[in-house]
Amino acid sequence: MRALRARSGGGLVKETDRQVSAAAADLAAVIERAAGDLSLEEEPSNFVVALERGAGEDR
Amino acid sequence: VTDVTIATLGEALAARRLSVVEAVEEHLGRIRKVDAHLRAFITVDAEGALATARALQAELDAGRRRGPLHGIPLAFKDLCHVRGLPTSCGTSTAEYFAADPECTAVARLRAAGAVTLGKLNMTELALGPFGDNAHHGDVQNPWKAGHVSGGSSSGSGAAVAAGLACGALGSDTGGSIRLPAACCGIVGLKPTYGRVSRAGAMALSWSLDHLGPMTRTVADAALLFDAIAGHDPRDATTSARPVPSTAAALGRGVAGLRVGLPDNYFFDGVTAEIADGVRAAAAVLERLGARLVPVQLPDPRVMVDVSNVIARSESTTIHARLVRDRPHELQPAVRARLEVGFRISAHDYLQALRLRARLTRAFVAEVFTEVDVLAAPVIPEPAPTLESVKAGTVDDVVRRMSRFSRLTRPFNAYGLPALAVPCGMSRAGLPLALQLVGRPFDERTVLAAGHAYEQAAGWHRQHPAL
Repeated sequence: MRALRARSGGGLVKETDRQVSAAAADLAAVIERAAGDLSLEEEPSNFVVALERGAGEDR
Repeated sequence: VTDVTIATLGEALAARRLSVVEAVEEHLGRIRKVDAHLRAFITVDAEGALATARALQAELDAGRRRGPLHGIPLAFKDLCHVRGLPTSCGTSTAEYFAADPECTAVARLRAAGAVTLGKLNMTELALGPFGDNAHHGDVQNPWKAGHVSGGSSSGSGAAVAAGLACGALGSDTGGSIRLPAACCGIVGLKPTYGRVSRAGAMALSWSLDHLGPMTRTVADAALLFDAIAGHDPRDATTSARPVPSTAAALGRGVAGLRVGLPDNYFFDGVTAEIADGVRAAAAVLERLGARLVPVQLPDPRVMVDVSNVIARSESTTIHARLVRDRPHELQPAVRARLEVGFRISAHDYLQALRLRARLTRAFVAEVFTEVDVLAAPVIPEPAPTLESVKAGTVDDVVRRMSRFSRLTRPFNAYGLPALAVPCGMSRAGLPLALQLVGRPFDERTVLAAGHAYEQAAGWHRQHPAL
């Protein structure tokens, strides 16, 4: 993730804003690339299913 | 009294070699003596602790013992709401968060007989891995002044290492139990996602938050975990699975256990001292009968990005009012991380959650057919200086934060149980740590492996000189 720079003056606020937007855009680009081939049946709650199914027998 | 384990103190109390009041007074005295320097506590509840101690001693005198935690002095990260005490969450607002009833994990420990000494310092809003806090003071590393305690459960790490409390609760969204445990030379367990209720604790990220124990030994962590784990109707994410006793399984050893040593990612960019310490710890496990297995893991870097999207979106949503209405109250790096969340779309957030499901399924299937636990570092370097982590621009600070938590963050996203155990000391006199990671809900194997290593290596017998 692209990080942000310190600033305090009003003239730098726009740059801060650009940095925040750029950090978000970088993350969005990663997600876009990685999610390209997600199955239609994939849904967020499958995470819990993955944990429960991956648990196996109590050891 | 302040250097002993929970198990030892519990036995002494049960045998009435010591009273609960004496045990609590010893801890309060130690807090008075060293915490002006350490800054581990935000709130010390001496009066409440002594009143509880007297009541618990009366129960013992009447022949009633609740169990191994009866009379044990504990303290809680200041994002757990404890009845009658303020919860700042490390912010400048004394009562930033409240819950009714109090935090489930705290309530379960109190029901088991624990005494609340007070509330522990933390990184502001739990957003940062070092433990610096402009409002409540930077928590000092008990082993070396001027070095970080690790965070965000900074006070929990320092208090337990320094003998100010027998154990503590921490929270872990990207490593915040394991990082301070590693920096302070104690044990920290991030349980499986869904194993321990987060009800009554401030949320940073609903999808990634975990509560767990921080103690001086693995056996003590097992005692606290057994008391707090299990379904809670107040937290819909908790699993209904039964929780077998981890304390009862500690002694089973590691004979035949397959311990995976990652070939990729986890040893990249770590100092030689850290890498050598972890490999030496793995060798100890091998001598105890485990089989070391080199493993190529599915690349965790994608999952780290996924977790960043989830964490930023959720933390900004949760704390939006503070960020929008009173941003000047926030430390610059905390504010900077929160502001990113306003720019992440609902589309990207949901795609990240869907990706997390797929990546977790693949990781569990690929890795845990080959091994039973993974062994990896917790921190990439021994605790750095407070001065160095705060130096430079906000950009520099945020980049350092990401780097310091890169070895713990993946396991929040995968939701897997992960244990930090001390595995040596650096040449500069700072703790090194081993991370053991297991199958979902298999805290028993993780804790048993950690206990076997700890007992063989003996690092838990060292205490900082304060």
